[in-house]
Amino acid sequence: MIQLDPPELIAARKRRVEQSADALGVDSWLLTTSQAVRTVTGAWSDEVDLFGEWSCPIVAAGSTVISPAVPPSAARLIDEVVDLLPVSGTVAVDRIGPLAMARLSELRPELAVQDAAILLGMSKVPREQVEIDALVEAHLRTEAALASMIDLVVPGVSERDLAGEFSVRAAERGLDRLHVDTVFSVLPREPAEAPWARGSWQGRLPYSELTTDRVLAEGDHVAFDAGVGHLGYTADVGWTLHASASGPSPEEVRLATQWDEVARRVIDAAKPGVSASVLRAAALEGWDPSLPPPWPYPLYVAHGVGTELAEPPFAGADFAPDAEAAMVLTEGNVLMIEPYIWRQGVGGYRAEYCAVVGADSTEIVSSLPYGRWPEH
Amino acid sequence: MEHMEHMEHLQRLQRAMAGAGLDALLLGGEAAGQFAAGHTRIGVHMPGWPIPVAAVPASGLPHVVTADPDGALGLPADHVHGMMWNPETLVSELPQWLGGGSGPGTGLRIGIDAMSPGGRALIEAALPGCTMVDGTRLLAEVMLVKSAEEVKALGELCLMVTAAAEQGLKGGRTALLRALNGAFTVAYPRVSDRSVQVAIRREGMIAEARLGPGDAARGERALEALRTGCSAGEVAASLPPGVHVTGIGWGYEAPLMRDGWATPDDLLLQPGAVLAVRWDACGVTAALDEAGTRLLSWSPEEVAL
Repeated sequence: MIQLDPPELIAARKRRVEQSADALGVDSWLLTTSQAVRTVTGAWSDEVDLFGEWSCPIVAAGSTVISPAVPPSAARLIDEVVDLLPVSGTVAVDRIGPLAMARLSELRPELAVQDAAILLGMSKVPREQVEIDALVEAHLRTEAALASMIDLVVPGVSERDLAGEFSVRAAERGLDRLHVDTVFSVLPREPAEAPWARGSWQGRLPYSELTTDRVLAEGDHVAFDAGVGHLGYTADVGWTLHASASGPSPEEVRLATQWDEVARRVIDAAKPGVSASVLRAAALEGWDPSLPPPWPYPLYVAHGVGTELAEPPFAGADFAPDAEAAMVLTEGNVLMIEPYIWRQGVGGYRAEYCAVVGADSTEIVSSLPYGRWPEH
Repeated sequence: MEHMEHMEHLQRLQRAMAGAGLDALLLGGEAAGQFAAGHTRIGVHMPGWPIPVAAVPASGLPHVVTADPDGALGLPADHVHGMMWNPETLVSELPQWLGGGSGPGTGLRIGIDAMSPGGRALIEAALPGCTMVDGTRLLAEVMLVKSAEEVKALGELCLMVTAAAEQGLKGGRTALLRALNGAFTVAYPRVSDRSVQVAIRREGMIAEARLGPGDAARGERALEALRTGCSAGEVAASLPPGVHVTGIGWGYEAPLMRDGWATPDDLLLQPGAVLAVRWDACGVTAALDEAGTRLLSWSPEEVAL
């Protein structure tokens, strides 16, 4: 069944999409990813199979939303929507297979195709307060679910058990759209515990995010990371949990403190007009250059969050310096700041500050005491 | 996925690629990528686009793109590549993946599933003279037939998710989620006091359960229409109205059959195919074998409440 986001959220997004379409000369769009459909139209389907979007896809052709639609690999999709598309001009398309693309060219030879990523990217900002409120609410609800889990992270319980219980506690807080297989993953303490740190990962800080049936042992550091959908926006919450009734050692405290130092340097540097490359530089300020950067490869030290779980600006990812410098912060950006500190024999610590870029500074909105270890 | 199982998948895929004249496959879909390369990535809705999950050359091992190298220990280190946020990174490396040290040459025929127009243009620029063609028909045929072990694993997962759905009927959403025991939900769980619909992914495979009001006889008629040797289009034409059938296994897979049409229309159903059959608020999962149709989940009478 097709459902709609709250009208005030749809209106905010639509205003930007229409302005961006005008600026780009886009006359209509054919969107086949559920995320793009929801961003642009506010429509979503509780029937969509989110892992592949094959059996019940949702499609938007201009202002018309179809669910279940035909998958974007099939030429038949175009036969079903062609009357909803203009005869000429420019249509923005996010994802399409060769057969459907050929059919579109055949039936609409005078219609130019533009990658919808341009339209969607331009339409992300400036974000309105009602959207920021939705993002912060999603974040705080997810953090509340995580806070309720801390006492369950003890020796003898499995990573998978914890992920299962988190799904229950998230749902109890109105969050049942888990976009990511929730991470409860024991971090390695020694290189030998990370045989995957090879190839491109060699020389980087060993990290892990696959949730398995592994049973926690005393003192384990457990990476937590969740991606949650709410009202068409997303929350990204991460922390490192400690499977021990006794408190952290001084060396473990030092990991968390050092994490906080890096994260706050990034946040202090974040303001409108500043680029992602400035955030990367802030993370590395005073950092021993002989050590790997303080974030996991192939992730980032900071990224945006909005209708997508990870969206520009990306600081510390695989963008060339000029591309990173071109990703400029604007007021209303919601950022996740998520360094990672790891020391051989001690272990790892990662958390994620959620922060909103204001007119003059960036304010942390997270409710949990990151930069410290959770207290049982 | 076991290493031998993955190698068997890869061999089947590369034989089919040779038959279709394909020099490479670029797979954006998580299920096909995992089928071809045997790796495990963190479950994420909508991964892959515009960066492929896996690149399969005509011979040799595939290359995977992942944030989870711990899920790709069966591949050599130089075939495991970090998640790319920048499509330019992909196109700078892709020629090497597809051509080895001497480069890929020109005029490659590359099969893809679906991709962003911008991603496609970048790849075409990086591989001069290449032609991007549909790879989904070939994938559909290769992925359709499951081994006996795979059917058994799917059956066990079906029973697990069906039992969880039954708990959901009795105890609501919380009871359902708790009974799923941390399995990743790959569709929004729908729970009411009269019906439960849920789909999960575990150990790289997908299963679904749909318990609710419905006409069991319609489900029975749909199952009778699933005959090996028939094309998906023929089966779709003989399904009762309102019945929706999709392949299921590594993900939701081909064929997709509903409302009198199918994609791919000409795909022949074969022993080893596993299909999810939905109607009203009900659903069952069936495996095709030489003897006919075998239910992996409850029967239409049992799921129609």
